[in-house]
Amino acid sequence: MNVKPQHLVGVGTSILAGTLIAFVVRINASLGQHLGLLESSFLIHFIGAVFALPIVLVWGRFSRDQLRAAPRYLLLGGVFGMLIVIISNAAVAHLGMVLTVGLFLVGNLLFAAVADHFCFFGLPVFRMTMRRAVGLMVAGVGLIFVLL
Amino acid sequence: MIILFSLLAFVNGGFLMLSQLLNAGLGLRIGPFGGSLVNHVAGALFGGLLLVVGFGAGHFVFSGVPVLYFLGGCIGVFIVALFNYSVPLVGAAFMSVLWTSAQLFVSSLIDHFGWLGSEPIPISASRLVGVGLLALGAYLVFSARGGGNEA
Repeated sequence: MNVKPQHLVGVGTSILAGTLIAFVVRINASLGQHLGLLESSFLIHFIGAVFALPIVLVWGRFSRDQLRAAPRYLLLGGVFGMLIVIISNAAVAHLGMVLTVGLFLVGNLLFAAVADHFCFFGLPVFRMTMRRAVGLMVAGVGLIFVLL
Repeated sequence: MIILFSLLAFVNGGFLMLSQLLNAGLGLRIGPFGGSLVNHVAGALFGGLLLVVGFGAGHFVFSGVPVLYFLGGCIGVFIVALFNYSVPLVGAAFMSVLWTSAQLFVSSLIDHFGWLGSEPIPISASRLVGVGLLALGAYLVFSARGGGNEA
């Protein structure tokens, strides 16, 4: 095992992201109850875009040339974000919250493991090893226990 | 119907990862916050398109909506930027284990203590076991780093 400082930083930023999500999911659901699902999702993305613009301009390393040079499909992340909201909503109505979230997280984890192994979109490769596979499976069983 | 929607929910999780990977790949080129900005612009454009076409079922009436409810989008900017920052460092799968563990643990705390105005729901034994297993799984993945990001 060869742990470098940036791995610990990555662990910290991942945990911070999950902590923020726990709060933001409830805040966004409250807005959705007032405005409707699609309306609130649109507004959340719009407010986010307006909020992110000054951050990027002031201390981002944003370059228009880099953006132009990037493959077009890399710009589609936000489109999937919107689709996820709509599909989740439809699935919850038929499956209930627990099953929807469980399948969603398992799908997320499996696809992530495949993507890590095969290197998608110029991202670093993390090859599957026995220990890694066992770790992911233990985490998957943990997910089931949390949701039960 | 159940099988169809189960499959949809499963594929939807793949969509989330696809979204996270696309944004992180973009983030490598224009920075984590640049990737987050593009994500939110694209989402707003696509959402706006769906509304114009007529998929909206609600209404834009803002009276009586607490200001706090509008801040979700601002927090979301940091969440996507954090994803973009994390993926190249620890890999998508490990990041996924970490953020889902943190989210499930914190939302259990919110339920347990009744924060954000919700009715308190005590944390269950199976939840604690699950969080423990998630932590164990995260440790195993962490200690098994294979390839990637060696520089």
